[in-house]
Amino acid sequence: MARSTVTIICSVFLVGLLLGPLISLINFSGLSLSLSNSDIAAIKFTFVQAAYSATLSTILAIPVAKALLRQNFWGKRFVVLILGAPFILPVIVAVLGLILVFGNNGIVNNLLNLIGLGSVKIYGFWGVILAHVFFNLPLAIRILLQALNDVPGEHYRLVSSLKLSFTQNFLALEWPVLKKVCPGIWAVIFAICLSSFAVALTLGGGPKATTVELAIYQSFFYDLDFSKAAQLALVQIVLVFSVVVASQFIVKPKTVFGLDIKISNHNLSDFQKIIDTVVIIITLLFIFTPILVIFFYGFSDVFSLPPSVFKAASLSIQIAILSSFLSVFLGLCLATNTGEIFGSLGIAISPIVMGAGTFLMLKNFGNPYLLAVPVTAMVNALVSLPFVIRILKPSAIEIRTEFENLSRSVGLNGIYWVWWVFLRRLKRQIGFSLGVASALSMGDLGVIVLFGSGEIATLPLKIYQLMGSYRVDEALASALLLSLLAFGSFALFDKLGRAL
Amino acid sequence: MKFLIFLTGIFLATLASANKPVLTVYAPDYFVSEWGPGPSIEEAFEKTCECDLKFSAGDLLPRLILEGSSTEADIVIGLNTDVTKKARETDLFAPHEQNNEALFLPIKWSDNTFLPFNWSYVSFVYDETKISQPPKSFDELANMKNNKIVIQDPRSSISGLALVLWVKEIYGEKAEEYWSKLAPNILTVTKGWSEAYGLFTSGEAEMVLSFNTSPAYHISVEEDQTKKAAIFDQGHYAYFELVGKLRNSNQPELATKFMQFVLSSEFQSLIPFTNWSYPSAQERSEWPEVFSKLPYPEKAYFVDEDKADKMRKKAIEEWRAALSQ
Repeated sequence: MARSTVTIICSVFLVGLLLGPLISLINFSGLSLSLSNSDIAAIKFTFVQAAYSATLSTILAIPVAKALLRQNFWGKRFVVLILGAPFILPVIVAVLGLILVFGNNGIVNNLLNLIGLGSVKIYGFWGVILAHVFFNLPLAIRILLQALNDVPGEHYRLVSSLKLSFTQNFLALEWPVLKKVCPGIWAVIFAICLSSFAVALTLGGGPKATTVELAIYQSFFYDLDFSKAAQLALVQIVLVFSVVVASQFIVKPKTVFGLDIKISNHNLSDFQKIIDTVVIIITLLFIFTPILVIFFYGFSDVFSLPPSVFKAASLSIQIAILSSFLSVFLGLCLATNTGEIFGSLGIAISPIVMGAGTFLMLKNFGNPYLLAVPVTAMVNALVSLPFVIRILKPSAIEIRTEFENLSRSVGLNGIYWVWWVFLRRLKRQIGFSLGVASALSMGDLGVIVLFGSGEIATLPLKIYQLMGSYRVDEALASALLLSLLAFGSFALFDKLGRAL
Repeated sequence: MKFLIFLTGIFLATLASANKPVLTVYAPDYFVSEWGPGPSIEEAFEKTCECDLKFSAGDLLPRLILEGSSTEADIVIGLNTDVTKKARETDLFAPHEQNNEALFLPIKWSDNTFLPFNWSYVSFVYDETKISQPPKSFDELANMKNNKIVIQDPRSSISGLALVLWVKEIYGEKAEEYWSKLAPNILTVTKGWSEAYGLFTSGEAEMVLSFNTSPAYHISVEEDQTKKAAIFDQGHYAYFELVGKLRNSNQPELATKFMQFVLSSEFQSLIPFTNWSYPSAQERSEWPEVFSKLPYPEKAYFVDEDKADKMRKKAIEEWRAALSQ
């Protein structure tokens, strides 16, 4: 009873937070009802690129996850851990890194030139897909690896003792797992890519690659057509929300418990070992070269950055802390199946529209600029909420089903239950989700653009300022600083969650 | 004792600044940052005005529209000619009350609401070490082989829109055809100027849509003489940045004083090396040498706001259609 009340209150609160601004914007400017050719083109492109990105990420993740499952090597745990890096890497940094690697003057093209081969083109449709795969492939690998790991070792032993053919082996062992997990992975990545903005900005290559979020940006900041921005924001909500709801029906993960027997790889052929090794190495190169390149280019200038950059960094840290705690608090209240559906609205809603609407709402009560920091923190919290809920929900449900009756029978209720049982048992997931939320907030340009006044600038905003003043080297150094802060806050919270 | 004097000093200083009237100036982000003209303009103006100039950074027009008549802005600086129509329609601006005759611009200025404070020619900037024979016209630009250009999206960038209007002025009904011809030479289209220029300086493209004054930055700050603007015989689109005074300002006298200050030689002399553009109210002979020596076109294109408003939609749609092929 009490729990569902909490979920309901939080859901209502959340829907108010998310839709209130949109409604107040519509109230202010009206709602455009006709879609132009370029709007339709944007909706189409958004759909197509998200479908390609999700499909490629999911398919490519299968051989990598299988290779990582089969092969045991020194540093494997570290490799799996660090696969989380691209996901929390600030988008602006990742795009810079990808250009330095795959761009016209990047490492790959220079190498291809050296051996006299043609060149790869990062700008355009495939550039957007490349960047989305860069962000989401590691995510897909991790979810898949987890699922394959959950197949009890006994199954593998049994199957290998039956001496089945490759196809039979696949059908008996892996297909049931893939069938269960892949649609969910696909849907998550699809939803993330639907609201993509910054990637298409630089790598899109032209007006063909306009996503809905980019069209919202254009109509808001440039055409000053707020009613069009509101309309496109509504379109985006419907698109993303329907995908999220649909995925809830497709994905029903169930864990099979085994005896935790390690899978041995002694009966793998040498050929398979070589293939697996190559797959793992290529994946690592693809994922880490762009990150390493930023380190390489930015490192020399980090310590000579002007004080204002460090001031901006400190503001970004404060916002990240505030925002991650808010996000995890909401996440804990909404860690149920229904809660997840509402929480997912966070990726559906346009931050620009949310910022503008919040501004209009606050205007009635005083000076909205004084609230720039808390508003930015709140919007960032809502944006990371879907991911936070995803992390918290499975364990939260497990704890409830396993411990609730037992606790009740010994009279542990209400706030005591939450403190002594629920939060204690969830601390690892809480640490992990605080880490993810703080890192995402750190890298988010967010609504500060709308609210920022002279003295208030976050680190991503500072990077744009540097780039806008011809200072590319300092922008790269600041990008490195931003990545260090994002990884640092992730590692810190994650560690705290494990240690406490 | 010394400490007491110090404390009193601080106290008096706070008191003094607390009593000073505040002039609120809305400006774009780049303008206010420590690398833009904002800080030195603030310092210079505060010396004479007995006031506290406060910059507030952000996107100017969306903010003004959301705030409406309750805006705290007294002055808005950093608007440009392509948005003046929309800015005028907000009915928030008052006449600038300055003499347009004081301006030295490539065109005659007759607007009494918005006052230009700097300007330059929209141009393609190239790397001399990579392009030895720069194009001298739009046709030559389209016929370049092996050289790539980065441009900005006219739907999200002022310089991007300037280019689209410039092409439309030159090619008229054949603009879409021209864009199709140019398309293979365009590496990518970015949201704004910064991303495009970053791609150029990091060697991704040999050429970028920018301003004929951009090389001045490389010459004076980096001592790099290799960045040049390609000058087209057909003439260039002139780009002005503007300042306006708010009708509902609660510091009308200070605001007027600021508008006068914009045309003063002190303000004008700050512009070249902080905003990397030409000052609007100085003759060429008064400019710093780096600027007066920059190559410039014979002819200036300028599309007034009513005409621009009529052309815009069609010109952008043609651009979009041609580049979406």
